[in-house]
Formats: sequence, C-alpha cells, structure tokens
Amino acid sequence: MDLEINRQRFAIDVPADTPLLWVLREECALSGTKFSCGKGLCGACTVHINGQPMRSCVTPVSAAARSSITTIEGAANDPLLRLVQETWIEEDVVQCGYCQPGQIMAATALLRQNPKPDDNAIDAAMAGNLCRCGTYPRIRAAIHKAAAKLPLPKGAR
Amino acid sequence: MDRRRFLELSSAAVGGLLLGFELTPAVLADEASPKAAQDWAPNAWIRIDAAGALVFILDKTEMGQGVYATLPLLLAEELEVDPEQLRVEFAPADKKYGNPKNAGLQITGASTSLAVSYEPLRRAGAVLRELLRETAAERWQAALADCSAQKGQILHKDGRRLSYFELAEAASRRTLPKHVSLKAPQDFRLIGKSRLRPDSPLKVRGQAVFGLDISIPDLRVAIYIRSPRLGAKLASFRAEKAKSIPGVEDIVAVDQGVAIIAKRYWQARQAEEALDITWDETKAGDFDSAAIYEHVLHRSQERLATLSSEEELQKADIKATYTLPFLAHAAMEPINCTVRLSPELCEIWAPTQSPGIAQSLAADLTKLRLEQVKVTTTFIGGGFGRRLAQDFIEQAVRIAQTVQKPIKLIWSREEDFQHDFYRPTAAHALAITLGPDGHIAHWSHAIAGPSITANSYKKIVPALLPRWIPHEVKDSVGDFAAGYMGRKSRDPAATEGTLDSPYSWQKRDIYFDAVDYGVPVGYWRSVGHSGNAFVIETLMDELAFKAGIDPFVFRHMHLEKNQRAQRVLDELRKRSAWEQALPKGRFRGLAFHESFGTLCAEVVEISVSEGSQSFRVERVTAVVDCGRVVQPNIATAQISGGIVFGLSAALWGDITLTAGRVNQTNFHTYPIARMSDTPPIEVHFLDSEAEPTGLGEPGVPPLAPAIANALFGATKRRFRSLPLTL
Repeated sequence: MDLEINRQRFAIDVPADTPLLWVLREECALSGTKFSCGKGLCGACTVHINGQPMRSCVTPVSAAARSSITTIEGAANDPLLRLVQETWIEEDVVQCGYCQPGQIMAATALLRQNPKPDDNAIDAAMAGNLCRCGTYPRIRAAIHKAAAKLPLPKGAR
Repeated sequence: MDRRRFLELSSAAVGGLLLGFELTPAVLADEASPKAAQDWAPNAWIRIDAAGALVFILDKTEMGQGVYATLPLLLAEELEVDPEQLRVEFAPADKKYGNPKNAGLQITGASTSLAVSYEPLRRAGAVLRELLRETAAERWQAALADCSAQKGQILHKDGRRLSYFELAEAASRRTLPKHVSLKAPQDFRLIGKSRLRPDSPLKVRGQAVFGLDISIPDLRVAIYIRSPRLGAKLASFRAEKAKSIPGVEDIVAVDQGVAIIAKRYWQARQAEEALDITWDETKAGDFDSAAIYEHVLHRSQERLATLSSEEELQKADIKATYTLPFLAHAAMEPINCTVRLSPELCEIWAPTQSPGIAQSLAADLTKLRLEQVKVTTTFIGGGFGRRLAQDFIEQAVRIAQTVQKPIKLIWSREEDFQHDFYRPTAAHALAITLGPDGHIAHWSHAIAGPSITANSYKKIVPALLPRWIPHEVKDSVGDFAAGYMGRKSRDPAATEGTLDSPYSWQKRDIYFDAVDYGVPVGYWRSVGHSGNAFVIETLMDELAFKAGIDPFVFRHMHLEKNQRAQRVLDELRKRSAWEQALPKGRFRGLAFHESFGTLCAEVVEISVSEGSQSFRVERVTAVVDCGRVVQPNIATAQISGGIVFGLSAALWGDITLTAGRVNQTNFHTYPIARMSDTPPIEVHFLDSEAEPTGLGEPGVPPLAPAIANALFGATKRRFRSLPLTL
C-alpha cells in the first residue's frame, strides 16, 4: 500500500493490521516517533493523521492509507511544528527527551486547533502524553510561549 | 549505586584494583599514541581530530540529567572555548572512565556525575590550555605571559593568533605542564550561568539516537518471553504455529525463557501469541502482597524489641509501624539492547547506566577479552536507576550467541513492569522518646525488607574481579559478597538517611534486616532515602506537634550545629510564606532531607475536598543547597522533575503481587503524574561556594512526607503507608 508521510510517498508491503508506529520506524526509517506503552496509554508515539493527533502504536497502518501523515521529522513542511520545536529549545524543556516528539506533536495539534489555549485547554489536550522526567511545567510554558508567537507570518512554510 | 560500603568491600575483596583515574603522564602517554599524527587525544575526555574538531568524550550516560551539557562546560571553562565549540561523543566502555564514587566502575548513578567531574574536567581543560599556550609561545619565541587563550585560539598581545588545531601537532610532542592553577570562581565565564541545553535540537526533531533507534545492517528484532510468575523456569514450548508467521526466523530456548527472532517487531509479537509455552513453577514464588507486608512487619517489630528495653518501649512517646510498597521505574524508553557478535568481537549498543559492567559481563559470556567487547552507550530514555542492572545486556548477548545473528532485543511495556528491579518494599518499626526539653532523646528504628545491595552485588562484584579469574569463580565470589552484604545490619542502600541523618537525636539505634521474597529489587531514584525520608519526616512532624512546637522550629532544634541546614529551612519558611494564613480547605506540610550531599526542603500546599474525600497537591516550594550551581536551568529541572517523580509515587506508586506475579502491566494500572496532576513548582537554590553535589535524586525524598504532613492538618490522621489515600 501507499502512504503519504511528511509529503513523501512510501510504498509499503506489510499486513494491514501492522501498527503505523512500526511501519514508520522499521519500514520508513523514521525513528523519531517513539515506542513506549504499545497500548495508546502514554502518547510517545503521537503523529498527525490529516492534522489530528493519533496514537500510532494502536493505529493499524491500513487506517492511515490515503491520509496525510505528519511525524516529528516533518517540520520542513510544517511551519507550526517548526515553531513549536524552536520554542521547546528556547524553554529548555527536554530532559531525557524520549517522550518529547509525542509531546510536541500533541502540542502542535492543539495550537493548530486553538491558537490561544488557556491552562485548562492545555491540560485537556496534553493529558494523554506522559513524561516520566516531569517536564510538564516547562511544556506548559513552551505552549504558552509558542501561542504568543501566533499567528504565523503570512507565507511561512 | 551504593557508595561507602561498596568501596570498603571492593578494597577488601579486590585489593588495589580499583583506582579512580587521574590525569597522569601514564594515562596520557597511552592516549597520546594517535592513530594518525593528526588525531590527538591529550587526555581521556578530549580529542582534536584530523578535521580540526574539538571532540569532548562524555564518560557519563545522558539520561535527562544534563551531563551532555554540564560536563563539557566544565572543561570548556578552563580550556577557554565555548561549549558549543565542543562536539560531544559518548565514551566507550573503558576502565579509565571508572567512577571513583561508584567503586571505580564506569557507572552513572548515585547523583555523582557533577561531583566527581567538577575538579578533574576543569583540570583537564586547564592542562591542555597551558600546553597550547606554551606551544604557541615557543613557536612565536614570545613570553608565555603575552600569550592568552580565548575561544579556541591562542592570542599574542601583538595580535598574532593560532587556533588550537594549528597548534595541536606541535603540542602533542611536548610534555604536559605539571602545575596548573584553576580559575577563581569570580573569573568563571560559564559556570553558574544558564545556557540552552545542547541536546535539545536533536531531541525535539526526533534525531537523537536512543538505544531503540540503533540501526545496523542485517539487524533482526528479538523478543524474550519469560513467565510472568517470578522464579518460574522454562519447561517446554511448541513453536510450529508461531514459526509459520511470515518474518519469523528463530524460536529458541535461552536460559529460562524463549527468544523469538524476526525481521520485524510486530511479526515477533504475533509469533508470541501463537507460541505455546509450559512453565515449570515448582520453585516459583507464590507470595501475595498481603503476606509480604505481614511478614516484613513482623520482622521489623521483632527487631525493635531487641533494640530497646521493655521499659524504654513502654515509656516511648511514639510507637509506630510503617509499610512501604514495591515501586517500578517505568522509564519511557522500554528496555532494549543491540548486539553483534563475531569470533573476535562483541559489539553492544545499549541505553545503559553501567557500560563498565555490561562490558565485563559480555566478556565473561563470550569468553572474549575485555578489549574485544565494544560497548556504545546511546542517549537513554530515562534511567532512574533501572538501567544500572544489566539483565537485558546478558539476555541480548545470550540470544545473539544462540542464533548467531545481530539482534536488537526489545521488551514490551508489560515486560518492563513485570520484570523490573523494583524499589524494595520495607517495614519500619520505631519507638521514639522525647526528653524534657522537647529534644529527641532516643530514636529506635528497625527496618526490614529485601536488600538491594545483596541483589545487585551478585552481578557487580564479578565485574570488579581481575579478568583471569574464571567466570564460575567470579559468580561464587559474587554470591558470597551478596550473602555477606545481605546480612549487614547497616546495609547503606537500606539505611541511608537514618544512620547518617543530620538530626541530633541524643541516642539512635538503627538496624536493618534483609528479607528475600524472590522479587528482584534495585536502585530507584533516591534509593533508601525514598522510604526513609517518609518515615523520619512524618515522625518529626508528629513529634513537633506532640511537643507543641512549630515544625520548622522543631527541626531547627535538632540541627543546632548545622548552619547549612538551618539556612535551607529559614529560606523555605520565607519562600513558602509559611506564616501566612491559608484559605479554607487548604493545608501545608513541610519536609526536609539530606541525600547525596545535597540538602532539600519542600513545603507542599494541598486542597482537600468537602468531607475529606479527596485531595490535590496545589503548589510545591523547594529550597536546595547543592553547593555551587553549575547550570541553574538544569538544576531547577532536576529538582522539579524529582518532585513530579515523587508525586507519582506518593499518590499512586504501588507494585503488588498475587501468587508470585506482579499485577501491574502498563500505565493504566501503574499511573504516573500527568500534566493536569502537576502543580506549580518553585525551586530556589542557596548561593554557595562549596563544591557541587548531586541533583538527580534529592528532590524526591521530601515530597511524600510533606504531602502526608499537610494531610495531617486536614484530617488529624497520621499516614503510615504509601501511596497516600484518604
């Protein structure tokens, strides 16, 4: 089957029920999306499917065919994702960094849908993304800071 | 890792083998024999490569605590380069990177990284800087005093300049300066001033290579199936159906489990479902949590009766017993390890906190020499002590040996929860007597529980022994050491924070009894302090209340000669607005604890619902004295992260067993704090000229007792077990 990932076409030959996560990591060499719980409980594997944040570890690859998939590696074509990544760096958010691709994908989806989220909206949108290092206070600060930089300048790519 | 006792034992058992290494001419001579004349490694931590790059070799594992930022910065401070001019590489396993505070083994643990690196890395930078100055002065036939170092160049006062790279070849032929002086703190350019973390760009773009991201040619995925019942052995298995799944290549018995090797992870997991395994449970554990608690409590009470006379027990002001649960590490990156074997070489890529132990373990298994085992440490997705145990390295090497293919062993989250090395359960029994002045006259304290030291020495001690000793002999020495340590009443991993508590109890009797339930136990962020601080600090609060003294004042009274501790408490009293009345339904609690050389006090503010059905942590204020703060931004993150880690344990942390099986399987049954559970956290550091001490762990211990003390305000009940429930 064909997949569109970060605006690139991938021809994949795997069983239809293979989780998208493993297709990204093992077939497409996109290892930025992380495996952690395997049951959709922690958010480390979050990617965007047609702009929606999805848990790739419990999404069969067949459900993502004929869709537009964006991963943490897709910032070149996604100015908002790039902005969120840059803000993460400015706010010194990361510790071990393992959950951060998922956190960033969840935050980007939130900001796309709600460019000025308050703390409650952030809590709700980020509740499914666990961080064992406890970087939450800085994640919150980074989301507010990224929101303050919106809207993106016209023509940003 | 445990420290003092470990060093004692290792020097006794192993003689002069364990030497922390210094920058000595011998080490340098060894290092200064470069592959090519252009590649030059003047010491163990820096290399000037043929292309002119300054490469910093990081000998500690980066697991979030920020060594990737702070350690290069220490060297850069004296070498007179910007940290960004250094390219960071992870050190291979090599005994020259032994950690003097961890028995000379190459281990990242016990919050020691900054403390052990602070002086040596600055000195290494200074020695190289002086060497480069001397080289330039000679080339220019100039006075040394006219040559200064700046941003990777030596400058002459007349404006001439040479880069370090241009000087490297000539410098490599010179003798190193013997005496260098280090900067006075007022001259620091870098130390004490926050810079952005250099690992962020890699991590936010998904480019950081964790163990799970290792990719080498012809790599296969391996999964390793063991019985969820602890101690069960493999009896037999039927693999016909599983083997027919596309991509599955091998299904083999390895030790007491079954390894499935496939091209892809998902194929291997499909095969697991089709696999039919029979376990031999005749010697398996059959404990239930309730039985363990009952037993361990009984042991602590028995011991208490021997520590104090009947009369003393009678007149004690407080008699109390506590029970603490097993806890899981639950690091976000699942356990994994990649191995490639050839007859002459064993290559390991692993997210490990103990590359030194991994190397010696693999050498023993493969019967190769130490130099033939190459261990590459990756970024690691959370350590918290879990990756000190090298069980997964052993499994991966054994699997690679069996199937003779390069493999990446990947555990599932379920396997991670069910085969952890848990923070041990413990029971504490205490009898405490106050003197007439309100001062604690007698602190009598019996602790019982599984011993981490006994568990881990089995694997650590063999790594300390000379290479010529046969594997089997090493194992029995390990078992002996473990048995010996397990009988120790002062096992440091169990008693830390009690025997050495800074409080001036007039008389203290503290005793630890090791009890083994066949549950693997290990080092968990803050180790023994995690439970001991809960017991001590909730009791200090209770005693203060009994004596009718403010909890800050009561602690002060017991720290009368400890000015550092008093400053921490005074600052926290101010920062937490302790005197200020709280609105209805809000309560505060205080706890203070010293661990890993760092003092940390926390005030927690909670809200309690009408009718005290539930509570929420609303705010945490922490004050810390960790000596000099090298990178304030990272230091704050470590304490704040420790508080969130402590919050998860205080509210939900509970690994339970039924018939020898761990009940928890994933984050739905072992919850950890989410963003919505995390309160605002304020962290303040005291100014200090003292050498830096650890920050990875000390934020954890005070959190649970501070919450429990706040809950007393709300409920008038004392809490003697964790997790905290109303």
